[in-house]
Amino acid sequence: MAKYDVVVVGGGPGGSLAAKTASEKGLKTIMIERGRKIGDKSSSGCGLAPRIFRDFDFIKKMNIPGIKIKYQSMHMLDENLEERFMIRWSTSDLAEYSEAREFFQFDVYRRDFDRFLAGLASEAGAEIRTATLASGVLKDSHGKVTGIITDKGEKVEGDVTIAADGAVSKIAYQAGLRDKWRPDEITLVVDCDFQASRQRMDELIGAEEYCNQVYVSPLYPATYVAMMPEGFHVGLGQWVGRFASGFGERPYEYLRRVISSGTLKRFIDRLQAKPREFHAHLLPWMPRMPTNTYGGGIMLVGDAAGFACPLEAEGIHYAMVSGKLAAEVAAEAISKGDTSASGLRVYEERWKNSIIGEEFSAAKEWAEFWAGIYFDPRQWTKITPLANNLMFWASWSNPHIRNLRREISRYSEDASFILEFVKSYIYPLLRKSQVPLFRSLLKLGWMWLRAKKRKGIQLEAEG
Amino acid sequence: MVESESDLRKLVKRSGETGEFIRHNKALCTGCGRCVKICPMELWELKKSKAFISPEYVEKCVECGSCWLVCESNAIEFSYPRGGTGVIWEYG
Repeated sequence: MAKYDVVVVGGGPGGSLAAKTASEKGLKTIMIERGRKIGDKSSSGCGLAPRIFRDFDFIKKMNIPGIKIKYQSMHMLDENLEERFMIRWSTSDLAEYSEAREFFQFDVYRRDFDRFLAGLASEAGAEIRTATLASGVLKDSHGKVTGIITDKGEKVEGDVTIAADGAVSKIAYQAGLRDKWRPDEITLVVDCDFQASRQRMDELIGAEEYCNQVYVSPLYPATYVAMMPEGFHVGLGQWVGRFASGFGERPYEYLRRVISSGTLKRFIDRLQAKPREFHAHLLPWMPRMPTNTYGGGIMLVGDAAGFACPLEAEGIHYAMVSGKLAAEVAAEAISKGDTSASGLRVYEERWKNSIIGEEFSAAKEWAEFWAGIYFDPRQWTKITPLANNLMFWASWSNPHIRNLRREISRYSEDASFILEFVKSYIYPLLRKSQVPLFRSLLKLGWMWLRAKKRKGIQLEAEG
Repeated sequence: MVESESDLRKLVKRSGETGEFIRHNKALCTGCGRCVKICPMELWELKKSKAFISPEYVEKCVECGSCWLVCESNAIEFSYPRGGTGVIWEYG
């Protein structure tokens, strides 16, 4: 039997940050990974947020293939999967730091990123054991977790166990911290990696114009195209409750539709992209603040705790933040000699006071926004024509003023849909962001009265 | 035929022998079909109002755990296959 201070289960970003931090604090640490190699079991999580570069200095040492995404776009497709409206935008000067002004995501393969982080954990002194499944937890007579048991029957004891074993987290389940996720707390994502020549991508897209795209249509839930170093990922997800209850089609049927025809298929064909690898995995998407993230001798980090952004389920940064926090709490608890639930309770306080807690303070509003709009294909039979009509006034079909009248009258017919939409999905977010609506409206009214009407049209420079 | 129209699900690499890692207790199964509807590899089917998993799952399952998660009668037991075996994703 082996005895450690900290046993980390799972070799993803959360596990590696926990193992690295614990080792740096002088704790005897082991990280257990079920894959043959680190990264084997990591799928379709590729976008590194600029805040990872802000918050973790060691990332400067990273030297793996990646692609800076400076643009994002949203494409509305009709029932024939043809594009009817598209918006595209670049990074904003509103961002407070340089990385966020420079790129939206830095897209990498998880294999490379996970191995880079595990390498840092190893350099810091953590023992890494791959090809080993933590198949159960060890508990003392009070139910406190005292380590894990491997699939080979080996007991690995630790004062603190950090479960970074992903969305399914059998460790959280066996430790008694959680029953299965509720059907509205977790999504299933299906995704295909496509390979394309980087030269062709550079020529057709523009090396400085890489853009991650979201496609919406009446035929499938919101679908992403994430540009990758050797091609791109195409994928989509839905809450498991919706899939299981037959809310729409089966997961693979949706993915088949995505690539079968229309605008997105032409994008794939134009790049002469070849499907290379199929992925499917669970991804937490919580409409509420996660709970039960610690217990006697155990803490949950990353997806195992449910820490994925409730708007678009980005989870790598939160896995890294929570992995580091958990290891810091483990070090303090071990030095105080209290690794019971009350000794580890501070972990929940720390993550709630961190960027993670701030994100989940609006979990319900973001998740409802996404569930009600992006993941509900029915909405787009209505929204896409409304968006498409936005520019009708500019059409050459008739005098523009007649087109404008027609456009406005069309919007007034749909006023009840638009108002319900704003009330259900937009207003809750405005309220949550604490915009003082009434005062803002008063101010706008005052500015309207004060605003001067511009006189005439100036055709020549004043001189 | 356009390549993207063939079954993408064949594009999964694997290593080693996983052995059995999903168990289904037919006595508990209510035949609700939730596992059938969610499985991305479509490995489950209903026969005489009980769910069955294809014996080929050991070579086809992508270890997502969805069937276990959505089973409301706890008839499905899922554990990850033993260390070092099963799905390998190189371009995740």
